[in-house]
Amino acid sequence: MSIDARQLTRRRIVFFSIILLLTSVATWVMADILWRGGVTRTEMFILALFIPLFALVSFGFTQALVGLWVLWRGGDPHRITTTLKEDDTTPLPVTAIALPIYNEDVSQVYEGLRIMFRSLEALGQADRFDFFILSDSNDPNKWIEEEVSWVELCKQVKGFGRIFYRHRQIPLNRKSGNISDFCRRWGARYRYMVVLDADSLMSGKALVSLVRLMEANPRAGIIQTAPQLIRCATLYGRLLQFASTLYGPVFLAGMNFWQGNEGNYWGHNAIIRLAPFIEHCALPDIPGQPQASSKFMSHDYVEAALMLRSGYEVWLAYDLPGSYEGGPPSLIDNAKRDRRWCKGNLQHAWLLFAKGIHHISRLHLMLGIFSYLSSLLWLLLLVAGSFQCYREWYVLPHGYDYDVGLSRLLDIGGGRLALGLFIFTMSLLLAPKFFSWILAARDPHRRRRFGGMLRLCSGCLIEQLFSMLVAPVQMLFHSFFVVTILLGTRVGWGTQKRAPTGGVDWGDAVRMHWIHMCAGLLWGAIAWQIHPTLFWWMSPVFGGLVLAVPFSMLLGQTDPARALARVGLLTTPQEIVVPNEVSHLDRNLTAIRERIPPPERLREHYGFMQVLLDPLVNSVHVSLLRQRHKQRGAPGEYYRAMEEKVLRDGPGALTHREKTALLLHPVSMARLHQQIWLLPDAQLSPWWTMAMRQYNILTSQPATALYR
Amino acid sequence: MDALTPFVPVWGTPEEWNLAYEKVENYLRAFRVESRLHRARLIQMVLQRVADRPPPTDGTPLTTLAIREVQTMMQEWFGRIMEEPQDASDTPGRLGLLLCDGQTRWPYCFLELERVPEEMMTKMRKAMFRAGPDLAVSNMVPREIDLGLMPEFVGDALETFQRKPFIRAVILWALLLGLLGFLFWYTR
Repeated sequence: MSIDARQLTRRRIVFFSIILLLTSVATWVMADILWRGGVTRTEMFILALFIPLFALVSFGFTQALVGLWVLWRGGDPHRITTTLKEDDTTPLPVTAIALPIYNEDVSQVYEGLRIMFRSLEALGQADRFDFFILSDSNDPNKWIEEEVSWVELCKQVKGFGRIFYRHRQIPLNRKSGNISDFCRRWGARYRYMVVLDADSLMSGKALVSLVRLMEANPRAGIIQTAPQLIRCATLYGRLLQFASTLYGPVFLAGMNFWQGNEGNYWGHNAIIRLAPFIEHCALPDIPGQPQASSKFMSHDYVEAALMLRSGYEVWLAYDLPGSYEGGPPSLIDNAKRDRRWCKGNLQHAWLLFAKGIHHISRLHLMLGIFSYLSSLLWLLLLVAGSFQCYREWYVLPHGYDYDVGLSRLLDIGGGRLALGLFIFTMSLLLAPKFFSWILAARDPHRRRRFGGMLRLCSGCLIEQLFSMLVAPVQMLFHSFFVVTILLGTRVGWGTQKRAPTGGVDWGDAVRMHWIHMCAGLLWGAIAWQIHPTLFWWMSPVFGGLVLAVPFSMLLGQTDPARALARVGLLTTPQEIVVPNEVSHLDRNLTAIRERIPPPERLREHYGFMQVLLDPLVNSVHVSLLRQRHKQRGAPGEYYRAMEEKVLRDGPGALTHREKTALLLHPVSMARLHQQIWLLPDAQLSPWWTMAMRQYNILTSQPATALYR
Repeated sequence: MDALTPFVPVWGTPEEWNLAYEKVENYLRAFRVESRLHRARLIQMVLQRVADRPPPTDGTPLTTLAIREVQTMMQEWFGRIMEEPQDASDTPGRLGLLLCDGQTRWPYCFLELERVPEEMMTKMRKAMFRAGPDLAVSNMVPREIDLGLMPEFVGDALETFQRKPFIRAVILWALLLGLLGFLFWYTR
């Protein structure tokens, strides 16, 4: 597939002309409103903020408008999926499926993998894919659980030689380093690699289609799918799921319209041509960073830019079904993820002026930066706007109703002109949702899959209400992230929470949102002092901030989400007609969660305990270590001292570093296993005696390490 | 399955033998010997072998003697099945047992010397896993990229921020004071 360059240019001219037109008209009106009897510094400042922000609003609107047009006409004739032949039976090259993980929920990861493996098996294509679990986990519980679960999974699906497990001793450069490590070790064996996230799920058909698309398009370097959110259980998750499913298609179609074969990569649920990726897409170092964290945190955009720079194409297969992912369960978890993404996107500024980068890649990078920076700009605009109101009412001789320029021409007065601009801006903000609603409402099939017209409309209203209240909190979160990151605050690589575990408690909510509440109260009081009218106009902003704590807690709950789901609200098509892969995953995970967890007293050190006590788990761990670290000799004094310590004082006496060191030493592991059973109780920590007695109470067959 | 024979040790207290029984049982359960009958037989066999020996003179507890005995038996058993020397590590044997589901498929054969089916032995010997395929090493190194003006103008400042948090704090304070000063001037 190759979209004609001139055609793509024409598309872009149309696309960006609409944005320019909308932005310039709005800027003119805004300048006209502000310019009443001269222009002040505040007004200039407001105008300077207004222009890029309105351009972003116009960008979103135009993308959705174009998307509506494209979808209304039955889809883009230049989308990559048109090159897919339904009856193609050409044998596929063996493709690697890379699953980088870092202290993730093991059951979720492995059950997803099982479903994909089975789905490929059903198509008769399982032997054309090699799965790689690429673990960077440093939590001993997760690490051991991953190893045992890998063996169990391979046994169950006969996956030895098809499903591989690799644990990195030093997780250098996080996820991108993990993938690079895979490429260096095994990349040359494969033509393509599908990169997944820990909560990714893809149907066998989608995986096969991606490989076929690559085969049909030899210039395609990356094909990104548009994963649908699934299995969201909290209110926040279900709102995101509903919004992305209903509103996503118009944006995606619009995005594909202007980016064509110069698209972007989102880090997972995508297929990559390995040879050019290895040759051209190794991440450059960020200047001035220590070696261990010298790579871009958000590697995906950079890799797409480097792929385009090498002359290969990057596509968005926005209409390829069967690609899924999970979403953050709460506003707080979303903020934690955003913090990392914010830093990653701000780091992209280094590449904005790099030589040889495609201009569309610069635009992608810039849009990524503005997705966070715009929050700070909105905040400044709102503050400056409040201040300007104060000046208009109390300081300046001419208020908004002083009739000049456009308002005099139209004979409507400055106030009405401002109201008109406000309505225009809000229309552009809300229009994409309206376009998506039209697409769903006009198609009886799609409408039914959202629960029918009444539920579709109710869902839209609920989503709109909540997104209005969430927006100011997000604005303050992002503004804070931008400022602190620019000042050099370190952002770590934490494990992402992907499933609800008991909701959000008061402590967390207050800790995260007290500043939002205070800001809302203070801002509201000042606005009231300036003028009650200003207060009421800005009350949605204050409202969201003042209610942040209870609101955040509510969003993190599963009960209200279930209540809405019971009456069919916020329903999505993949819930009405559940894809096979999703229903299997649900069933398997439900069965796993119903098993008895380990006793509370053992849980903290369960993985470490298991690898020392359980002869079979110990054999798996030691064998894996011996395959990977053949050169390890007998342990020295340092290890001997730790061995004695762990036997005498229990695993709680070791530091995380010491535990990791022991876990990495096969001789120590084998010897500790022998010693722990051999030593009399008097020479062992009471914790071990208790563990020996309790370990076997649980059921016999291990499904995963944690749910033995 | 052989009937259990009476066990009457001539040394050690009942309490000590009970503790040894419990420990060996825990160990065997950790080996997934789920059949109570088979487990009881094995425990008795182990304890009998310990009881048949003279009592220890160095005060070694019975639990240790019993576990040592069972470990020796396992060493012999795995060595014979895996066709490896007796002093070799039993890790491959344990792994083989896990991978061929030995304890589930042949629940009465663990530690048996006479009644191990040929299929079990073959499967245990052949059982192995490979955590990854053969390496096919590639050289993935970043290509030269000219970052333009950014490193010069911004890089030094950020590097200083990273290295010297106090300077960062001072700049933050200066920004705050500057903002307040600006607002003071601006509102007059």
